[in-house]
Amino acid sequence: MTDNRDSESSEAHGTESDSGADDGRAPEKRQAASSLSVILAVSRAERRRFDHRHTSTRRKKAVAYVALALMLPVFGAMVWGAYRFGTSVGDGGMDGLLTLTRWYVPVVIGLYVLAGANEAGKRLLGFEACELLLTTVRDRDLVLGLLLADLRESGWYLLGPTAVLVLVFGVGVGSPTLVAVATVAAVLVTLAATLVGYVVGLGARLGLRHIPLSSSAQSALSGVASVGVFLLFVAGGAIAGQTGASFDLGETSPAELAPEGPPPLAIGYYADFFFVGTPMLEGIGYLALASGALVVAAIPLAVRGTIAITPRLWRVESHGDSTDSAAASTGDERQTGTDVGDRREWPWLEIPTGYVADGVVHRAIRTPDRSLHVVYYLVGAGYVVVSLGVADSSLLATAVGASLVLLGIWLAGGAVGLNPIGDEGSMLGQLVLAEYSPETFVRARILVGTAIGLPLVLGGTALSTINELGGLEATLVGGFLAAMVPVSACFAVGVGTLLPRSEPGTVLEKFEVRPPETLAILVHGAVTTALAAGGAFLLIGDLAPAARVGGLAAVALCSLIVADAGYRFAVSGIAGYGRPQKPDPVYALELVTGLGLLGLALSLSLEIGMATQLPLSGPVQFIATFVAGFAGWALVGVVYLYATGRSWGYLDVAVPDGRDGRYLAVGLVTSLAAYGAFATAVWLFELPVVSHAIAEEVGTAGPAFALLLAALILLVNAPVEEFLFRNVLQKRLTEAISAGGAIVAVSILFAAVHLPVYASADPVAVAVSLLPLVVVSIVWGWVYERSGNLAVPALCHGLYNVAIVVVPVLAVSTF
Amino acid sequence: MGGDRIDTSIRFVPPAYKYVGLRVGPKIFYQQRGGGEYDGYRRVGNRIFGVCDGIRRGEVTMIVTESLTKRYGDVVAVDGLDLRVEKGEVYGFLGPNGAGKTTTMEMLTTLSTPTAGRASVAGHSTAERDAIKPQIGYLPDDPPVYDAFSAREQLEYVATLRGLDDVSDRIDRLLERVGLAADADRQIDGYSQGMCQKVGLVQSVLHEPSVLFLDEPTNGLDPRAAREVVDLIADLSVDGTTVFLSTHILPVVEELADTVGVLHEGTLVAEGSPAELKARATDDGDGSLEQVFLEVTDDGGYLTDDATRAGVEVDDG
Repeated sequence: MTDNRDSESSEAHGTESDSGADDGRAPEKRQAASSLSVILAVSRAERRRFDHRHTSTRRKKAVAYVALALMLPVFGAMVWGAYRFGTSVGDGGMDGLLTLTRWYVPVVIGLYVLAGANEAGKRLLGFEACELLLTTVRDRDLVLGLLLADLRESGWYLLGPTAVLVLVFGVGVGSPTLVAVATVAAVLVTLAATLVGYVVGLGARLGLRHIPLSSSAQSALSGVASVGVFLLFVAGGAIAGQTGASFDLGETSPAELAPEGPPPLAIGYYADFFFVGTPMLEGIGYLALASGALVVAAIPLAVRGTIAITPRLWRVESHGDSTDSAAASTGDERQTGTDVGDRREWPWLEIPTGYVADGVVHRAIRTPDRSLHVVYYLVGAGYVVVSLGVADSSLLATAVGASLVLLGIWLAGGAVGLNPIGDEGSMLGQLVLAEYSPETFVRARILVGTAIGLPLVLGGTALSTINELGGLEATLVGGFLAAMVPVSACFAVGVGTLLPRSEPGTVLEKFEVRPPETLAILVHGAVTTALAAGGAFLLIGDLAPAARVGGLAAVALCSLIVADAGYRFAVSGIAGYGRPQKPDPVYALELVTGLGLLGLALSLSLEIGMATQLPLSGPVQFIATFVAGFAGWALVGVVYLYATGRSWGYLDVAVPDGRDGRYLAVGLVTSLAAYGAFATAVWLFELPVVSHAIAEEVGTAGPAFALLLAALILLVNAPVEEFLFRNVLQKRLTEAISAGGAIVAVSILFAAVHLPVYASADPVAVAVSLLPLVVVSIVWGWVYERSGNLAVPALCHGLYNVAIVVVPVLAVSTF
Repeated sequence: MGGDRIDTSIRFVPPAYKYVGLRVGPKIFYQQRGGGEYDGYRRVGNRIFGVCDGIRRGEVTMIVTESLTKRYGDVVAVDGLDLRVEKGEVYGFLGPNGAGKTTTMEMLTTLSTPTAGRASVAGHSTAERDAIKPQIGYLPDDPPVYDAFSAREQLEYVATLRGLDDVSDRIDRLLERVGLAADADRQIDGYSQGMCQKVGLVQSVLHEPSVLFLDEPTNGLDPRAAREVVDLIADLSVDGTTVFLSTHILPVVEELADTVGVLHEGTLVAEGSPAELKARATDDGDGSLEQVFLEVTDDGGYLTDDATRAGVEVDDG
């Protein structure tokens, strides 16, 4: 960041001296050329800063690539949709579409203007721009350079994609004229709307300057405005999606949706440019030409407006800052500073946690801009309201209630819990040296979060269940969701301690001051939403009693684990500030169990996704599903190692030597003997058992399939399971408890996560079937502990599985 | 303080001194106490020195480090540091930027763990944070304050966290002392850097620590404010507080410090009283502390040509 700014300012200095020298020799003639070079230099420096900001660290690069990878298929689908839409328009099957589009175009332009207004200050009023003011670069050149940089950026996410979609639409229609005209028209109107939005946004900011608002209130206002714009887009998207869907379903034709008569604003005739050469438009009318001229003329006018307004904002801003600091340093204008009153006497101030919580609340209230990441949650909740409310207005009360519940559960952690360390900043060292215990500071944040979340959750539950559920069910759901509030708060402080953020964020950096890490927001939001929604569904859904009780028990266990582990991790984060953390056995057990359950969830969802979502069949589907399931397990282990900064060096993999070979033999013989004893006991005492889900599949397939399975077991199943359960979980647990304890605990977990593949209505049979898993897992755990080489238990495990699953099938089919 | 008439009822027991008899401090006349174990006063220029004997150096050692080392990856920030600071002493910890001063302070205040070596503060190993924390006060170079609070709220908050009761009088007195009384109820957000620094300093002495760690306490202060802070530090020292003072403002060190240690690239390259250090200067310069500082921290860059280091004895840790 710093060196980047340096390079940028040196570049600015370079341009300054260049233009200065030019001015001296040939003032008039060189002016244009040097202006252009300044504009390009400013734009280039801004682009470098942008690139650097988004790709400066490994993590940022990864996020950028992931975002790109996620966006590309979506964009591909949109391109395909635009093409198909074009072909149906070309076939003349869209009667009335032109009238409809004329109605919609002003709305879309309005949305783009709003978006431009929202974006306007982001770069133009940024700190770096103010720095360049100290040079002799002309304001006009500076604004143009910054605008150019903005356009370059929007070329990637707005102008470019819009042009491509319209172009493809034109290709679909099959008219070369339309391809050319519509693409140019789309680019021009997008550009014009955005630039007009800049003028509107900058003008609004200039007006705001004359209203006496504190700087935090101003940034809060701009944050809320951003959210409003976003929600308008969501609402627009929902309506457009519904309209589009009803075309596809053939329910309505555009003619039915379009109101009679001319569009409300004449600018709507700009829509004609998108239908040149289609059967529905004979020729361009004078109204269309006039609106086209208006759009083209708007571009230079808006640029001029931006050039006129922006420097005034720069000046006003620097002027206001200087009076502030002068007042602060002289103390003469003391009354202009914020005079804060005494805090009142409350009973909770007597309790340490209450006292600290009171401080947290006061700081949050006095600096609202610090908590502006909360608007992200409003976006999420607003999305629920808008999407459900648009779909069915009778569901509006339920939608509002559900969004309030979600908001309560998210904010319980998100408001003050997600960045406990970054939020304290340099005060952390003083807290560590204080008499109050580290627990106090964590509990205070949990207390504040719970106090914020509970009213929202209770009110939201009342609102959404009032017409839908009976009194008992509503009370049950309300009680469960209320219990989720402290769980969310506890989990948040843990995630926030694991993923702290002390530098400004990147999403809405104009007003974000000290937000939590985006990843922490996402993880916390996903886990709490899953637990709350899952629990609520289990309570009121249409389920068998056994499934309901089992599911609720699982949700309760998971909630307990994430809450207590989060709390313990946060406490150890503060207590362990600046010194090695003491291992906490309970935390380690919770962590390992949580990772095991997370692996199970991920593996199951990937398996189900692979089996149901992809058009595969036969062995290919079997291999894909098998690999996807184990990829879920492996992912948990890899992500854990990455998130905790444990490098690949944590892996204990080596080529087995003679000593390893002996452990392999001992382990394999012991585990097979244990299985033999188990099978004998089952046969002897006629114990109820459930067979492994895959064993039944193998039984009905041929020997070729059995060989494929053997390969998958040796190459995928055994290495992945051993990596996670031995090298990650058992090794992590050994740091906190004894090796023996770790082996047994992980083995019980190992058997427990195999529950789904032995699922059966008979609990005794399930328990009996899982017993050998505990025993063989202990053997492999011991083998890993003694050999210190992951390859040994992986081979043990693989050969054992092949021996008990594949060999019997081969034997039966051979003889 | 008119002329030679000095009230002999002043009892001044110097908390520490290296050589029998001399305590350098500008403000000893504040110390009005009964009894008398002093030998007399000596007046030099406009300063008054208490003169006495009785307590030897090393009777109570407040800071001891043995081969204290901190590595960050391959970078050695502090390399085998051996220090002794006696009770009541002001130890001036000098060094260029990046010499390892802040790292040393963090290790001594338990906020960072040494890679190797040991340290003890106020008789406790730095591994025992709970035992040390009531004994020490720490002002880092970035003053730790919540800018949403007023100065008074900040100080009351920290006092409560420190487990102190009824400190509002003391807070008022200290705010008055550093010239912040009029601004005490304004939000720290609007404070200048120097005002924040003063709040941080008051915050670090609220609980009357026996060892005070100050990292650049006069950072960002105008001359008047710096004078107030320096006087406050001198007072604390006279009261028996051991002060470990990191700075690169040499006049401050020269005025306050009983002992000066110069850290360079993680190693103590020179140590002694300001007078001793100055005696080491080569004949080429003006014999100031600055000259000595430049000579002992010289890597052969700018200023090397005429600064032959022949006359400077260098302690290698």
